[in-house]
Amino acid sequence: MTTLTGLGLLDGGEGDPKVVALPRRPIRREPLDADGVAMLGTWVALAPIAMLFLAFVSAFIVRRGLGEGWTAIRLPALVWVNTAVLLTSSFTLELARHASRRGGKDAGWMGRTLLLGGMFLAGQTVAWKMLFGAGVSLGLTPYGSFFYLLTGCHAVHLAGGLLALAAAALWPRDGTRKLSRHGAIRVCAIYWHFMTIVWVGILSLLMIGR
Amino acid sequence: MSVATQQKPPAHGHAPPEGFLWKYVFSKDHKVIGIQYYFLALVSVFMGMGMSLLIRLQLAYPDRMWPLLGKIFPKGMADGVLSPEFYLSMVTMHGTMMVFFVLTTAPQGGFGNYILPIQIGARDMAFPTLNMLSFWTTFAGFCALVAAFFVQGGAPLGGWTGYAPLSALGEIAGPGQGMGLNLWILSIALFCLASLLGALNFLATTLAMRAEGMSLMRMPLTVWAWFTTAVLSLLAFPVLLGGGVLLLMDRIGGTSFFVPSGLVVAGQPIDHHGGSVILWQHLFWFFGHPEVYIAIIPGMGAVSTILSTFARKPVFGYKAMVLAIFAIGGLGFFVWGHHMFISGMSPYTAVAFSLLTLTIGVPSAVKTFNWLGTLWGAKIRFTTPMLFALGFVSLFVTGGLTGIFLGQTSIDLWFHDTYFVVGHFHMIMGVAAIFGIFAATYFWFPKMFGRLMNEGLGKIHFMLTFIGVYAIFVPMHALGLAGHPRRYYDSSTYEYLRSANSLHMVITWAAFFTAAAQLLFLVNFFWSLWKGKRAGDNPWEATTLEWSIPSPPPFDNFGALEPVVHHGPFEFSVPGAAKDFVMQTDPPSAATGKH
Repeated sequence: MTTLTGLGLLDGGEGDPKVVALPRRPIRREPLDADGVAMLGTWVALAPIAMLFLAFVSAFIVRRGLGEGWTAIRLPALVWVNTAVLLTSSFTLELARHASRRGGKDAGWMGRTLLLGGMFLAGQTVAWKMLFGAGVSLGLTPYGSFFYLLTGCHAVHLAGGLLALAAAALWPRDGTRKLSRHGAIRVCAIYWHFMTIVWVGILSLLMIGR
Repeated sequence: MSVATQQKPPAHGHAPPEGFLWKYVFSKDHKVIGIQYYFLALVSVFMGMGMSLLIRLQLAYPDRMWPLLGKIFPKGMADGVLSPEFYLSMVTMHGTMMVFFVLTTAPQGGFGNYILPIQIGARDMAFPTLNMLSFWTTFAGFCALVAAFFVQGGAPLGGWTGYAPLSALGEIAGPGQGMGLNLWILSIALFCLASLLGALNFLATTLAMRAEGMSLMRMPLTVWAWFTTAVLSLLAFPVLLGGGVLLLMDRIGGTSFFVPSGLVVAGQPIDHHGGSVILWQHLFWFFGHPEVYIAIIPGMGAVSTILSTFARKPVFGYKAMVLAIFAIGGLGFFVWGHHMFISGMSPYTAVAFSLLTLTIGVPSAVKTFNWLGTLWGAKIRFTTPMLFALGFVSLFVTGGLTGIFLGQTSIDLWFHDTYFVVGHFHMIMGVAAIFGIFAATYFWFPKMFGRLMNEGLGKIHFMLTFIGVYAIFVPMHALGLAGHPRRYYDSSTYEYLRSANSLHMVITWAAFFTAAAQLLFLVNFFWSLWKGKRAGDNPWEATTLEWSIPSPPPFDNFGALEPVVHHGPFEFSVPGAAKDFVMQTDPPSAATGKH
C-alpha cells in the first residue's frame, strides 16, 4: 500500500485534496498546425497497414510450415525491373520533398515520381499477366497464391498513394489551403517510402520462403 | 478573475454548412456524425434483439407452430416453425449485428465521436471528412449485412466467427454460405475500413487537438478509454480485414488458405489442398479478443465518469485507472489462444495463453476496486445514469468471474462451446457493455438534445432490465454446467438434454420480459426528445468541458472563445471550494475559493 501511495496511484488525480494545495498553472502547449496534424495522421495510418501485411506474413509462415504442396514459382525477371523503378521513384520523391522544403521547383521531380509510380503499377500488371499466361493461376500453388496476395495488396495501396501524389503535385503554392504544398508532399513521401520498404519486405519474404 | 478572461479568442473557425443534405446527412460535424452512429446502433440493437427472440422461441418451444410469424418469414418459417437453416442464420446475424453494429458502433462511433472532441476542448475531429466517410462506410457495411437476408439462399449460417472450412466453400456448405456469406464478408470488410478511419481520427484528435491546459493527466477517463479503444481498433481490425481477404480468395479465387486436403462435404470431395482451418481461427481471434475490449473499454470510461459525478467524489486512483485501461488493452492482444484451447494447440502454448488471460484479472480488479473506492463513503445521487453505471459494475464482476473459469485450459475443455460460454460473454461483453451504453445515453442525452430523459421511466427501465438480464444469463451458466452445447437447434432430440427444457422456457420468458422493458426506453427516448424537461448547460453539476457549453452545443462547440483548462477532470467536494464541483475551465482560484 505504501508503494502504491508513493507512486501516486491511489490519489484522486488533481481532485485530490493534497494536490489542490499545489500552485496550478495552465499547461502551455503549442497546438499542431495543419501540416503537423497531417503528418501525425499519416504516421498513425502506417500502423494498420503494417498490421495488415503482418497478418499476411504470419499466414505465409504458417502455411510454409505446413509444407504440403509448397512449390515455389519462378518470378518473372520483370519483377526486378519493377523493384528498381519503385526504388528510383522513392529517390525522386525525396528530391521533390527537398526542393519543396526550400520553396524551390519540385514539380519536375513530382512529375517524374508520378511517372515512375505509374510505370511500377503497369509493370506489375504485365508481370501478373505473364504468370497467368504461364498457367500460374491464383490457386495453383500456395506460394503463387501468396505472391498474388502480397503483390496485389501492395499494388492497391500504391495506387492510393499515386492518387495522393497526383493531388500533392497539383497542390497550390499560394497558401490558400490550410495544408501547405510542402506538407502535402511530405505526407505523400512518408507513405510512399513506407510502401517501398513494404515492397522490399515482400520480395525478401518471397525469396527467403521459397 | 472571471471565466471569460481566462479564455481567449479562437485561433481558427469555420462556418456551419448550409442545406439539409450537408447539415444532417453528409455532415462533417462530429456531433451530427456521433448521432448518426448512435441511431444506426439503435436500429441495429432492435433488429438484433428481434433475432434473439426468434432464437429463444425455438429453444423453448421447438415443436410449436407460430402461424403469424410464418406469414412474416415465409421462407424461414414456412409452416410456422423455424427451419434449422433459418435458426442458424438468426444466430449468425444476431451475433454479427450486435458485435459490430451495436457494441462497437454506439460506444466509440456514437458517444466517442460526439463527446471526445468537446471533452478535450477541440472544435471538431482532426479529419472531419474522414469522419464522415467512416460513418457512411459503416452504413454501407450495415446495408451489405442486411442484404444477406434477401439474396438467394438467405443469410449465412456459420456463426459470427465464420469458421473455416465451411465458410470457405460456398453454397455446398449450406444455403446461406453462398451469396449470403459473400455479403457478410463484404460487410465486415467495410466495417473494418470504417473503424480504421474512425480510429485514426480519434488518435490524431486526442494527440493534436487538446485545448490549452488539457495535459494528458487532465483528460477525463472517458477520453483515455476512447483513445485506448482506438489503438486496439487500429491494430486489430486490419488482421480481420486480412483474414476476410484470404477467405474471399478461397471462396472466389480458388486458393486454399483455409481449406485442407481430402475434405468431403455433403458427400462431395472438395478440390482444395493443404490449407489450415486453424489459421483462420488465429487470424479471427487475434482480432476477436481485442474486439471484446473495444466493446467494453468505452463503457469503463463512461462508468468511471458517471460514478465520480454522482458520488460527488474524485475517481479513486485516477492514474491507476489509466494504467489499468492500458494494461487491459495491451494484454488483450496476447490472449487470443484461449478461444482455441480445444483446437489441438500444444499444452505449453495453452498454459502461456491461460496465464496471460488470468493476468487480465489484475487490472480488471484494480478498476473494480477503484470504482468501489470512488463510491466508498459517498453521498450517492441515485439518478438513472448512476443506476446503470452501478449495474455495469455488477455485471462486469459477474461476467468477469466466469472468465476466470474459462481462461483455465482444463476447465475450458469441459465448458468450451457450451451455454456457460454463451452466458459468460453475454454478461460481460453484451450486457455490461449495453449497460455502459444506457448509462452514457441517460447521462449525455441532455447534452446532445438539450432535454433530460424522464427519471421515473428511466429508473423503472433500469430495474426491469437489471432483473431481466440476470434472469436470462445466470441460468445459461447452469445449462453449460450440465453440458448443454451452444447453437443446437432442438435440444429435445437429445435424451440427456431433455431436462434442460424447463430452464430454456425460463430464459425465453425472461428474454421477452427484458425485451418488453426496452420499449420503455424507446418511449422515454423519443418522448424526451420533444417533451423532456429543458436541461440547461450542466444539469448533473459535472466538471468536464462538455458541461461548460450550451445543450445542445453550437456548431463549433465553444463559440467565440477557446477553452483553457485549469483543473483535473474529477474535482468534486474539494475542501475550501465554493461549490462541491470545480469545472475544468473554472479559474485556478475556484478550487480554493480564494481570489
